[in-house]
Amino acid sequence: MLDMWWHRRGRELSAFADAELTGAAADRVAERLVFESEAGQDLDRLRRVDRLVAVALSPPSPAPDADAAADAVLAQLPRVGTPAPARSRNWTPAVVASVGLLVTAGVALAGLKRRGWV
Amino acid sequence: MTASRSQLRVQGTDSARYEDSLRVEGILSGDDGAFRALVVEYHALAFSLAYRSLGDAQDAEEVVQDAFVKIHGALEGFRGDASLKTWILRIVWRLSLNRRRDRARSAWRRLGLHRSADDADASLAGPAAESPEARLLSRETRRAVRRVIDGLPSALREVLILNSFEELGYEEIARVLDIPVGTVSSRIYAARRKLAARLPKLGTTSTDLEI
Repeated sequence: MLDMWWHRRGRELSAFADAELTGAAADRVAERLVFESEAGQDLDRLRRVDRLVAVALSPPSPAPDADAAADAVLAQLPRVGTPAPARSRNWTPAVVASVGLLVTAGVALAGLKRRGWV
Repeated sequence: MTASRSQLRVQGTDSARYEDSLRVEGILSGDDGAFRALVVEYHALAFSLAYRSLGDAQDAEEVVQDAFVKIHGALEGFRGDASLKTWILRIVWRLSLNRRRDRARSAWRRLGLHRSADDADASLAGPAAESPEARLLSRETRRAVRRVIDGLPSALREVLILNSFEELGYEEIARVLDIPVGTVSSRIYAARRKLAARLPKLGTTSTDLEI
């Protein structure tokens, strides 16, 4: 029960740090911050953690060029009315090797039959 | 009585939704210029989100391009339940998670031959590529914090990353992740608690903490 109470207080403080609380809940936390020094310390700790997270995760600057990215994206879009490209023979090495083996086996079998060994 | 971050964002939602729908109609009618404008407008946001999830600029850029191609193909299914921004970010987020999973599974990574996020950071041309705030924090500390974040359970890591994004309030995070707002709030608190407990053990100095 006490755990739940602490959890609710902590959760409220965390939401307060994100300016997500309104009305009575926001007033309650604001009051705690005035009268409980521990609440103020907790809030400072949360904010320090947030600043560390923000810096650790921040993307490099400058960000990649949006115009160049847009051009690249548009180039990848399927064009309306453009015929679909002819399917290329995208044979994998495994398929080529299998066909080669089958042909070799066939030729060898035909040779053996001709000689009457099979 | 003060308005919350989410409530402030919700104000003017109707006109924003109307603009979104006009925009989508324009793109669906074949207006490439309208789609190009959409990519330019949301590119930085999408890149920032993908980078926060992946920690690698090249991966993030690839994911973002892939996301916009998919967005173009999926616009017909945009119903306007959420804003166009949230809808776009949700697609970017899912693709980032997929890339993260693929990366974790890749043989290169398992063999230790991959280019790590740390290497990628180093390849971003050092101080010139960093924000002024980032320069205040030592590279080592940033790496350490990133490792702690990566070590969080995925449910906590996800909300923490999305919350680090100033653009998103709890309601929008809930829409991106498809979970209740209350769950977002508890997970953010849990993630912060875990981080607060683990960060001092990293040897982060008081200077680092007083940014």
